[in-house]
Amino acid sequence: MSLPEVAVTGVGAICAAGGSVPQVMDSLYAGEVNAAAPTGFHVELDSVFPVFEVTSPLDAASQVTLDFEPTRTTQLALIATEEALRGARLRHETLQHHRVGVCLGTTVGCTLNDETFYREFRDQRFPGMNSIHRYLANNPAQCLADVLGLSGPVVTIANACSSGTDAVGLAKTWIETDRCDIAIAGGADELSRIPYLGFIRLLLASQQPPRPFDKNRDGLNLGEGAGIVVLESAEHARRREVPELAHIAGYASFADAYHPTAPHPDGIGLKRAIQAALVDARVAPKDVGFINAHATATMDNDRVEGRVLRDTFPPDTPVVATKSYTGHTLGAAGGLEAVLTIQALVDQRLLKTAGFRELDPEIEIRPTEADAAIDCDTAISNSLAFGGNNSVLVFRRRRR
Amino acid sequence: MSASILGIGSVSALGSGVDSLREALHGSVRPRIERTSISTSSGKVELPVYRAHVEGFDRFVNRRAQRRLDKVTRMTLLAAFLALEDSSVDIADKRRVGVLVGTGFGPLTTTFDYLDTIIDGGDNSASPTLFASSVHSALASAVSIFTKFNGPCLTITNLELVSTEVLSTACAWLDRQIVDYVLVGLADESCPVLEYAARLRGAGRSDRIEPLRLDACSYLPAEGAVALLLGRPTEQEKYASLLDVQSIPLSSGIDSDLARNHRALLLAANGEQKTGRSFGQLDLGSVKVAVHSPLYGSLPVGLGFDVALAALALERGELSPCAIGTAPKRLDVLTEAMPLCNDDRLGCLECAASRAGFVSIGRM
Repeated sequence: MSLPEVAVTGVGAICAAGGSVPQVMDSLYAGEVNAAAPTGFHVELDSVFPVFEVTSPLDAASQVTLDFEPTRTTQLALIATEEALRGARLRHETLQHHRVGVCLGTTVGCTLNDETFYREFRDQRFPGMNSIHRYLANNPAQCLADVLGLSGPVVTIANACSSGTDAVGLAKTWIETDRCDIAIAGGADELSRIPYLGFIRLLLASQQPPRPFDKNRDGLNLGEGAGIVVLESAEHARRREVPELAHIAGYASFADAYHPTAPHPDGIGLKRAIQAALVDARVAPKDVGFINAHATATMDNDRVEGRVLRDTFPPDTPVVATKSYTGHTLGAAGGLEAVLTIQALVDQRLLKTAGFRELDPEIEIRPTEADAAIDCDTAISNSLAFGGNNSVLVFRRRRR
Repeated sequence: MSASILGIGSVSALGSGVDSLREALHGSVRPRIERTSISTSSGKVELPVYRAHVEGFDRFVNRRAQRRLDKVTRMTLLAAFLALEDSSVDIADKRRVGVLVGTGFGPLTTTFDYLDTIIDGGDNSASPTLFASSVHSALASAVSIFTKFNGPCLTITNLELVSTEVLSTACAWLDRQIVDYVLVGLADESCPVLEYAARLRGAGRSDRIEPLRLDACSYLPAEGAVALLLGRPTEQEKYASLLDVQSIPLSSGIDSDLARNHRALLLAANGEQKTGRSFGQLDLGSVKVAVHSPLYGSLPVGLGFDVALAALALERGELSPCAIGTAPKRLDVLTEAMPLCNDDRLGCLECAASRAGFVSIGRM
């Protein structure tokens, strides 16, 4: 079966490193790590667990008028989407001329966990419907489709930490099967004290900035943001005469079917996902120019992922861990990391990884320690998630 | 894109198993509707709720393992196991089975239980176990872990058209040969917060769902799960096949196109006014329509139940009506059993504010 090539014609990003793709890349190439104590919410804990918070303004950034009160997740998604649409040379009014679908990953953005509302409910103070209306209006993909007047498929994916990767992967399938002409895909998530406390209590959060693959790593820092790609068939992009930044050459996802929170110790799902994604992209491990690893800097994730990478790829394959600059943005992570991987391919510049100091002999992965020019066409991005989900995207650069 | 329905499982206020749906369709089983008491600013009120009973779970999951599973996960798992059992399919390669779960609200009870640990005990007391179980993907993960199916495992969490998008994705996985089978689960639960919110939105002023009454809310909260084992169209269909799944903008005005070639449409109207208005505006021509939400209640995954009911109606060769009260005159509502022949197709239609989801069901 011959499938159309899936082109990326626009990218958008917002995270702690900046409010647009150029800002984010400049910050990453400069090696800036913006982890700090959370300011967007208050917690009563004895220790500080840093987060990667978005500091660029959200209010005035969007061009669209909303008839509902947006959540921070919605604002982040909108800002990244508008940047991606501008890059793809798509104006709002032209979107109606195409079948445009939207597929977004999230975790916080789909959860009815308004603490204020719930406290009032518990105390029988009979809260009104504002909070519920706000929740109903802010399902990320749905509200984006409504705001932009899109006519294609609309899906919000909640696959925990692989949500954004799976959203891009499903959108790739939409283009391949002609479900839509154009897909807006990626992920968005805001920082919230609810998962913040959960990760701390799971002993997965660190009091230091993350140290991916380091022998002394001790956990993740949460972050927030959005990463969006605009996808269309290469043929459609050529007809529209828009440049193709890259192709989504491969995608695959496999479950460990093992444990609700821990990865399979042998990484069976991740191995299969990498192998299947490479087959889908018709590339061999030796052809992969660099890997943007999931690399949460937790003991289990990095051990399992690192060993799988070590066993699958040639030893000199560079491994980048961009969460060391963005934090773990949960449902946004896969979308954001897709954008960073694509842009690094476009720039032909390898990012260095922050935080790594000492090789862990158990995994023997030494992530990139300096940024450098590269000459490669293919990169992959991994996502591992609660429940044992493992998803992999393969990107291929379009040579100009 | 199409898929063969190989097995059906369900858990709802009608009971557990495909026979509970068969019997409800034939009128021999009624839903168990509990009256729950809700405190509002104007005093206590009663709200009828379609409460699901998770019966027969012990056959599939031992009691020790059940302890950590919340109700919506149990419902999803039980429906999934029942669909597998119903199918009798011998699955040789578990890597070639995808798990795909759709839910509107996710594990609500666990989400609020987790918040309780923070509110009651302070920030240092947040329960890590409840937090991990409160993520929406916990349902699909549980299905994957307990069945050992380790193909792709995906959770779609739309508040609108969730069943349509899940079934469409399942068909795409099969069409792209990503998997050989997809175990689809569609599940939602009710909880006190949702019931309070439903009441504020007007639920419970009527004791029964009148799904096509457009001037008043007759929404009654429900919970349940329906699971389908889907295979490629080349597989021997046990019931029928999903011949087409699509989501369409309501503004595209293709209502009569949808209705064409279908003997009858099952509308997933559920007494909610906003979507009720969308159903009320449809121009479906002379095609007969039936609504079965009074059997399974008002919940985001209602279309999933309709798909199962449509497959069972085709199996029996007859579509039974369901009493729905008032309906717009422009809709030709089924009032007596309609015989179906082998070539007949049934359509299942769900509406959101601006989009509709449509599933065509028939034999290959």
